[in-house]
Amino acid sequence: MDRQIGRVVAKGLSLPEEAVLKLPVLTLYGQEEVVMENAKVLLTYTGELLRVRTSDGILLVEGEGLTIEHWKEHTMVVKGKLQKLCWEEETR
Amino acid sequence: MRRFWFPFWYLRRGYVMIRINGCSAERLLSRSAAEGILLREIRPLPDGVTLWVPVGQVRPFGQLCRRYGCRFRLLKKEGFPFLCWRAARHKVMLMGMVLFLLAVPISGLFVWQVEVVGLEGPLQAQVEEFCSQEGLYVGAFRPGCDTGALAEKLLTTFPFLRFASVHVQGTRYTVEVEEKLPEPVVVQESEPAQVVAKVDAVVTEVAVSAGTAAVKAGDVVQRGDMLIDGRLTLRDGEVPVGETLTHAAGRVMGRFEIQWEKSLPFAVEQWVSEGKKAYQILLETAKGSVSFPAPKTEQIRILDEKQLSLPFLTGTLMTYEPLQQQTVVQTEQQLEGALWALAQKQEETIRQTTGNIVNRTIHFSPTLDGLLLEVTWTVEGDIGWTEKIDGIDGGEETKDE
Repeated sequence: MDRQIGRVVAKGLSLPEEAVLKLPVLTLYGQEEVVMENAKVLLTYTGELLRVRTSDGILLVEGEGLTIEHWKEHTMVVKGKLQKLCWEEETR
Repeated sequence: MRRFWFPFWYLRRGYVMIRINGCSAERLLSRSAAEGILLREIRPLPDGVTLWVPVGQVRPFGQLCRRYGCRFRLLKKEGFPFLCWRAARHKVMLMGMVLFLLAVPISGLFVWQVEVVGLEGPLQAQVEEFCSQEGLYVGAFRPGCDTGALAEKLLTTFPFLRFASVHVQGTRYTVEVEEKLPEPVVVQESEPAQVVAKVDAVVTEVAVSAGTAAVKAGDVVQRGDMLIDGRLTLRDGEVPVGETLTHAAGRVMGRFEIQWEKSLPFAVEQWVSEGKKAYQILLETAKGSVSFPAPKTEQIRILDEKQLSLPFLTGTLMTYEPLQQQTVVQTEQQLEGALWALAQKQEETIRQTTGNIVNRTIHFSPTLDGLLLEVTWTVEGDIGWTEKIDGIDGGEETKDE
């Protein structure tokens, strides 16, 4: 319901939906860097796996030598050899 | 570029490397990030993580660690504040650094080089001395040097200068001056005069119409040597009884050499057509001329101009080709051809103004970035120059009389 209201507001005011609804935004720079905006909680962090909770669910980043280069508030920059990015099936 | 400057930008603040273990690092990191603590280079370890935290945020991060029951240890310190703190303990090094940092801008306030261009020998030394008296010398304080006033003073002080300008390039000052050309002195035919050599030459022919020949064919003369003397000895029979002066005249031909050299680089910047046509309209209005659209390139080649007949206006439609600057690398043969064309032009000028060319030697030699052509012409022509007997102010070239 909140999301629907947000969509209407965003559309009405011509605002980007991801900003109003705080949707996760992923920007990939080749296979080496991913910038995640609106990342909320880090759930798991190893050199091969990163699980991050976002408003849309849990995002899985798999790869080799993964490091969080920069993290402040809700923006996270992950570097390493990226192999897989997917949403984890979550039981709510 | 970004990769190069980012570390410097970050390190201005000072960062601390921290190792965390003994708790759920993920929870702690999530909380820290949510509280606005900047976390950098988080690297996982088997029993925890290492990360960099700005020095100003170490205290709130430590409090969060305690709240989450984590152990944390400072491993490294980096950045400008720590560098300063370390340097403060080495006072001599710190002083050296400060002195160096101050020396760079301060040294720029002084003149490092003064160069006088356009004169040679004692005149150059004279101008250099004047400049130093006026405050332009190596080591002078730059804000105190008024280049415009100095150029004006040079012109008023040295009447032999026709142009003076002072260029500043950083801490280098170039005083550019040009000497006045001597005004040609016309020797009246009624005045006593002699004919002297204007170049070093071998005399080939002497024809005297007034005065006494001082040289004969085959003589080697140097510039300034007398060729026809204006002094005539008065004789009574064979006995000299006195001397009179006359306006010496005649034609003295000689053989002399003219050397010429020119170098051209292999790579040259040329404006080349893009092969496209463009148009521009130029309108003449009561308030002035208006042209549109403006050419997008710096150089153009005009192809055609058509007059436009418009009511109340006169205008022109210009068709042009936009030109683009390109570096064209020429082959050695092309360069030789270009140099040879220039030499031929020079040869034609010599033929028209100086005399007949009887011989020529050509020598091409490579330079660092191009080719050098040296040509020596052997010319046969008039070598005489009329000069007043009582002065050495120059004169006019002898003419056939």
